[in-house]
Amino acid sequence: MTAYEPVIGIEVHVELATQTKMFCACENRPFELEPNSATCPTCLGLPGALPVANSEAIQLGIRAALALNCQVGEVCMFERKNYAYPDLIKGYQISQYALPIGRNGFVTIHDDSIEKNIQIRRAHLEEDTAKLTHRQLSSGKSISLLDCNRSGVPLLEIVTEPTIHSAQDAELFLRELRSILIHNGISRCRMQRGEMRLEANISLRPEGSEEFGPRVEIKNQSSFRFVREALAYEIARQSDLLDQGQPVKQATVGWDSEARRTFEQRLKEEAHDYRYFPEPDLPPIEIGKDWIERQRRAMPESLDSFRRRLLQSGISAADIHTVVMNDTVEFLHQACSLYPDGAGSILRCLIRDVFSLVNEKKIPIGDSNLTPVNLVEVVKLVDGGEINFAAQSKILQELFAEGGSAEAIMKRDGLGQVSDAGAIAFEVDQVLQERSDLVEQYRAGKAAVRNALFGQIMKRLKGRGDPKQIDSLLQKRLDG
Amino acid sequence: MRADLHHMTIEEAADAMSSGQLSSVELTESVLARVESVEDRYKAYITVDADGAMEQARRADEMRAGGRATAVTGVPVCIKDNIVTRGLRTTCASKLLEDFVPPFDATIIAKLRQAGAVIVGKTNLDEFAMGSSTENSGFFTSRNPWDVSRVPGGSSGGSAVAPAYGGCIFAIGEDTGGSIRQPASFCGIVGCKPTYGRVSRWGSVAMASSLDQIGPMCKTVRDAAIALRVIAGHEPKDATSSTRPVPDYLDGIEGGVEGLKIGYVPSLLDTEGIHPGVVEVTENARKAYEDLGAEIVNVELPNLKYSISTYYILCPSEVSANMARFDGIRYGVEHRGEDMWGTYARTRGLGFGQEVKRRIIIGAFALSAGYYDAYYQKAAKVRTLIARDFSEALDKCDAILMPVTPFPAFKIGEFIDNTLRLYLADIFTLGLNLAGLPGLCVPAGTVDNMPQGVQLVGRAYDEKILFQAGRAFERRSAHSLAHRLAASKEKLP
Repeated sequence: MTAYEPVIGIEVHVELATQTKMFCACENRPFELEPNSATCPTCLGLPGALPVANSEAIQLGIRAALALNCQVGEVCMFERKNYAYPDLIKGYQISQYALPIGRNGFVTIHDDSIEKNIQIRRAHLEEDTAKLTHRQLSSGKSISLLDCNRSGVPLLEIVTEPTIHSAQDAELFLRELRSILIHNGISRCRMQRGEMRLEANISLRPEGSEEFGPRVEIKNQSSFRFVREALAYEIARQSDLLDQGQPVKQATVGWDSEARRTFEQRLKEEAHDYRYFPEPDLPPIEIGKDWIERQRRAMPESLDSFRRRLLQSGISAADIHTVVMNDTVEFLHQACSLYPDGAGSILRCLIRDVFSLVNEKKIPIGDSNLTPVNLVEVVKLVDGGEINFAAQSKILQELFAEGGSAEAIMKRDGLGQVSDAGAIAFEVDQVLQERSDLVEQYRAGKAAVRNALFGQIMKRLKGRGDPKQIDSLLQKRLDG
Repeated sequence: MRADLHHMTIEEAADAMSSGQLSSVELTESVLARVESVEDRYKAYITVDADGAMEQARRADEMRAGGRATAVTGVPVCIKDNIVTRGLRTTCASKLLEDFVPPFDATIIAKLRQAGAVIVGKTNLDEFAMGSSTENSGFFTSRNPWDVSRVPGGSSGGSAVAPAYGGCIFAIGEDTGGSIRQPASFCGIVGCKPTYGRVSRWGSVAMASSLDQIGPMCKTVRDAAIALRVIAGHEPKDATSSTRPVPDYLDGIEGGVEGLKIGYVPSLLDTEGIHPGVVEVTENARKAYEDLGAEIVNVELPNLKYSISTYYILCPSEVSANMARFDGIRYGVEHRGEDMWGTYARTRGLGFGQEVKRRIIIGAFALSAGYYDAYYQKAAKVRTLIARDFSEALDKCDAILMPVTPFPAFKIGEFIDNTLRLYLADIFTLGLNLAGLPGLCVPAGTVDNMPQGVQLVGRAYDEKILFQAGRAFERRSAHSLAHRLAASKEKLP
């Protein structure tokens, strides 16, 4: 059997986290509002309406280009991409073609301790389409509904070079990209809302060959796992075909996550000719060095540098990976900049308590009432010995749901830690006296009963005792 | 005060109203009565909004009584029907938009309303402004008031006919390749195509977005200067509209041309197919400027001859995209087909006329992969050369005097099977749109008993010099609409 090298390229569309749409002043909240309520003549494509480029979107485009290590275009120029479909209300999409906002960049992926650079071909700005929903009425009649709230939402399309060679690297790249975009405030990348949409193309070639095989495109994915699985499936399927001497057909496929296989999508035979030409309604905008520098200064520390800093402060690579590859990355970074010495505690707090709240309540951290400010407040209470972890969990639960001040909750609920040496010594001695049986067992060599003793002492202190003090006093008495 | 109120100019009407001799209600009634009595003969209007006009007139009179009158308060105006008016049907003379009532006002409509002008109705044009005779209107052909067997020109034909016959006091047109200046010349009125960006296109239904420009069509040069000031200015919703302040175009308009340099392009008079009468009218205008004390400077526009081929690549290219939104799904007249694609095909097949389809096909072809460089790209380069020609010529003079059209108003149906010859007749007007420069058409004589104008071309944003030079000519000549109306043999029925 021949060994084949998979050649994978990726295209990602993300909705930008702007206040307003790409070419009009309508609210950019396609998911929350009544259908067709965030619309105006421009995003409805009414005759006589004109576009005006949203400078916030251009700024985010510049930041994206910088964050992806791209060359930033000197001129921001838009073109019309012509094709017909009912969700494309003008019959053309305003996009960038000849001069994208960013090109020739890279993203570094981290596979354990191995780093690889994935080349970015281009990143360009464009507008989203309206949303079509197909329904069947009770009469049996099929109808299609059009919601133009999404029409004109700013999009950034990011295209890699075909230099990814495994399904796993493709997934790592997508996760890293998402973290970079969230970290820099470019997109919220909420997959379930379609804020990040994925496409991959894959071909196989005999190892050592420089030529490209026929491409299979995997369209419209909303999950990293599905992309990885679909790619892995295609690698296996295409290898089998090639081994049997059969040709691989160029195709566009979807992923059936239940049957766990790709399926060919019916598409029109002819290749699309989008007839691009410069958008006459939008004069080119010069992006001077000053503008780029202002954006660079407004950006947070790069994700790579942040990651290195966390490593240097002694946090494990695995813990960093857990948090950085998550929605919480921007939150983490903000919290760390509020409390630079507390990165370890913040990370522990996120992993220990916040992730389980996110999973349990099914609310992303950004939509909860927890903020980097009140999270840091809680962490500082723990680090200062004023509360213990049990209290931390309780306070976080309330902050997540209601917001507020950690210290106020601590005082109100009497969650403050008992650090009074006298009170602790009293309870330690009481327990040791009452459970002399356990003390004897311990002295006979059964070390595990120490935990039971500790638990009973903590219980008498209503869970609020300073664990370090209890621990050291208990040890001293048992040894003595 | 003149008796035939409907033939008043903006200035005459405003004077009569401010001195209390006339109310807007009376003036509007008179204009509506004129429309009522002769509109069937001339066919300027697609929609007349008589009730709305009377209501606006009453409000204009209140505005004047409250001391808030502007130069156009209470003055009846008509609007080319490719400029959207909130609540008032806007068809673009297309069957596809026969029932389209826009939910918003174009910037210029908002400005006119704010200034208290009375919008009488919407005028006929070639469908989506594609044409130069109104014969491509999806509804009917307008008539030239000076000979109803002839076209009024186009595409802003209705907006030339209405002021000429007294169906309004002034009109708003839109010019993509001569659509204001050519019908103005054919109907004997003044037409101004401002600098691209001077008047906002917000609400102007795009034909070719990089060429379209709204402008006034009036009975006198002074009226055009007054009207342009009302409609010009920046619109934040239009990225192509200029933020330059709008000057008072009347300021210095009577300054004459003594000491001004008027550019003249002798080679243009050798253009193939040019009517000897047009040559004569243009030469006479040159002589008139000499007599008025202007210095005539000969200049050349060597690339102007390429403007037709350039225009008929770039314009259809933009058309092919601009027409794409008309699918009958969200607005407009839908014709159901077997499936979605069938509905598209039937709606557009039945809704669009021949010329629109022709331009969509030409444009889509010119933009296709493999042809883009040879057509669109090359045309864009030639456009730059044409603009440079004008710019170099205008370095040597203050304004250029040129013919507007190679021949006067032609017979209805004369070119119906010869589109190419009709395209060639745009030779003198297209260049300005390609270069984005302002042009003013002023009545300058008669050819075959039909009105014939000349065109003044200025530097970008220098409409002022055009009005000044145009006014000097108008004051001296005997070809203005008022003169024509006064000459009894040419009195309109």
